[in-house]
Amino acid sequence: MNREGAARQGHRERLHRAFSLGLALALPAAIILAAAIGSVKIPLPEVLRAVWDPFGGGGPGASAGPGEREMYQVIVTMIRLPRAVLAALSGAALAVAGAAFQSVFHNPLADPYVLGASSGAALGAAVAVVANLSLSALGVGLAPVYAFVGALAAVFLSYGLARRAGGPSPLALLLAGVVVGSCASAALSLVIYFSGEHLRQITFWLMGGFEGTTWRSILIVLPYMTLGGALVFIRFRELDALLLGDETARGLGVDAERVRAFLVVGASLLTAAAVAVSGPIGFVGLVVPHLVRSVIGAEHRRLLPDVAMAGAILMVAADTLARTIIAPTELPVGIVTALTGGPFFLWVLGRRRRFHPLGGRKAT
Amino acid sequence: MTGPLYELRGVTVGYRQAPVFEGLSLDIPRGCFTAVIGPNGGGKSTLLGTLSRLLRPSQGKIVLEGVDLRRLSQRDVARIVGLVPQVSRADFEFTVEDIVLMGRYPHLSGLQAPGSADRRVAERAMAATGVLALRERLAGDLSGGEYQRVLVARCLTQEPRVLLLDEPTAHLDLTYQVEILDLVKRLNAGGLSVIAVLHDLNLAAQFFDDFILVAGGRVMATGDSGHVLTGELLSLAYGATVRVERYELRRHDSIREDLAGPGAGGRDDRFFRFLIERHGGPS
Repeated sequence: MNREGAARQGHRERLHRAFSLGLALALPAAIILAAAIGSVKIPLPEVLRAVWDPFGGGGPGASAGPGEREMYQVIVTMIRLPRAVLAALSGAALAVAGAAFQSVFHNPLADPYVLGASSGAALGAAVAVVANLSLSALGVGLAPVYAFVGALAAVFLSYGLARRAGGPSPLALLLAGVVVGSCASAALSLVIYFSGEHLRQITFWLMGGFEGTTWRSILIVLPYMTLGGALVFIRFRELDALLLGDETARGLGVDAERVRAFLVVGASLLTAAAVAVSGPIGFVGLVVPHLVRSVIGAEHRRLLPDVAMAGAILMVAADTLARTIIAPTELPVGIVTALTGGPFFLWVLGRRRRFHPLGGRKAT
Repeated sequence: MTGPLYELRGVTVGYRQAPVFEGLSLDIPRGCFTAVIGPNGGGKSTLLGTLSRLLRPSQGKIVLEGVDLRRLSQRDVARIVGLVPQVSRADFEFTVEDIVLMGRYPHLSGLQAPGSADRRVAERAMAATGVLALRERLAGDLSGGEYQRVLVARCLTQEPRVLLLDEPTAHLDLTYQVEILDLVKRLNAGGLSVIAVLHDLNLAAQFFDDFILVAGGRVMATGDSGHVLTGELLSLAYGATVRVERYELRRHDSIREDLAGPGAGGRDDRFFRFLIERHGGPS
């Protein structure tokens, strides 16, 4: 390797390392800040103390501290921290799923919901609400369970339809996703039409949010997110190749259809787990991969960890904004991500002239 | 090693229920420098897809360097055969080096990332194709000719023994067309077998030694220009009356006699003109 080449390589690696390090520091900072900000403002030292010693406040030793400290303890460890952690996990899951789907479909407009996961989840949740299934079977309502199943069912239905319609090519899959999504939305409208007094509850779920998160809900989704994330990450080389198209990927030795099925399963687990606990939250899964790519490039070995961290940070920030901007009323976080993410995405696109969402570039 | 590069025996292949080729048998020798020519829809790309295992035959067998293609995985094939697909430019935010390094992927497994040995292979390939200076550029910012050379560099990084090219000169200016084909010709002189689909007969005739004429789902002829590039065969293949004019050029004040002679100087010695007669041809 010539010296100039080595130096250039070093420059790229340094840029990537600096960016990753920045994200790795910003993520815990965002979570700590999220725990401090709110209707009750908690001083940062108290937040850190509560995180450092989560059971200190309730124990007998805490009698030495003022009653205020116990209240901080409860707010931080039982309310704000689980909420921020779940927002971080959902943001990371959606962003990684978005990156995976964009590659699998070699389509920059793909997001975690291309295969109908959000409509399927919404239908599942609405059915659970209307049928009054919100009994605490697992410590969380049954709506998340139904949403999870609904999301996965929609994805597998899309995949099955595309397969029957002549092989799961990216285009067939996208079309099947649109069809399944529309059907699920229609069924959802039907359920809503007859929902009567449950209307508000369903609408609230549809707008997405992390209100009332407990550590238990985190424990329940974590295995699915871990598995989905692992399934996507171990295919980092294939994701690079697929981003350039099926023919290129096959030429590079990738069994495109098999790997696509594998990645669809992984990304759908991530999406279904996220949408089950927080409702369909848009834009994070679409925008974050583009944003990170524009900084460090598209190579997935470097891209995926950074996408996960950036998605987590953005979701924590969006959720914190959602619950404080018009306090004491909470905005659904989905509204915040859509209102801020949309214009931001356009700004990113406009700034980067060479990138075009439809893949068109100046000819030759 | 002996024996042909490819042996196709009774191969039936195509898309879904509609086979393009039925019972195709064909030998392609090692070290070949072969152009696949023929009219649109005649099966040129299908043949290339079959050779690169993008398409799997429903009947018959394909033997690559003595091994049945069915016994090789897509990855195994990618270590022997490099495919330069038709240029499509949905390349997101990859740099030239990222794209070229992907050529090492068939050689990596598990969670392996490209190492320094892989980078050296990629650098040699970029040097050979003259894109080393572009390594940090985003692929989307390149000209068509530069991008095509990057794709060839990626293929060379696979360290293949066969290079398959699908319309490598499509959408390129004349100078880039010549540049790419000169590059491929040099690689062939270094021992790489080259099979390229070309729809431009003039370019094919100027650069290539051997030809496979494909039309209507049949291989109509194989061999050197004297055998394949005849008015009779081309008229039949293209469904129009094609007249072939063959020119010999002076070099060193003497007319070279051995028109079929191989070597990099070939294109200086002969060229063809293909004329389609506009009246009187069979539809």
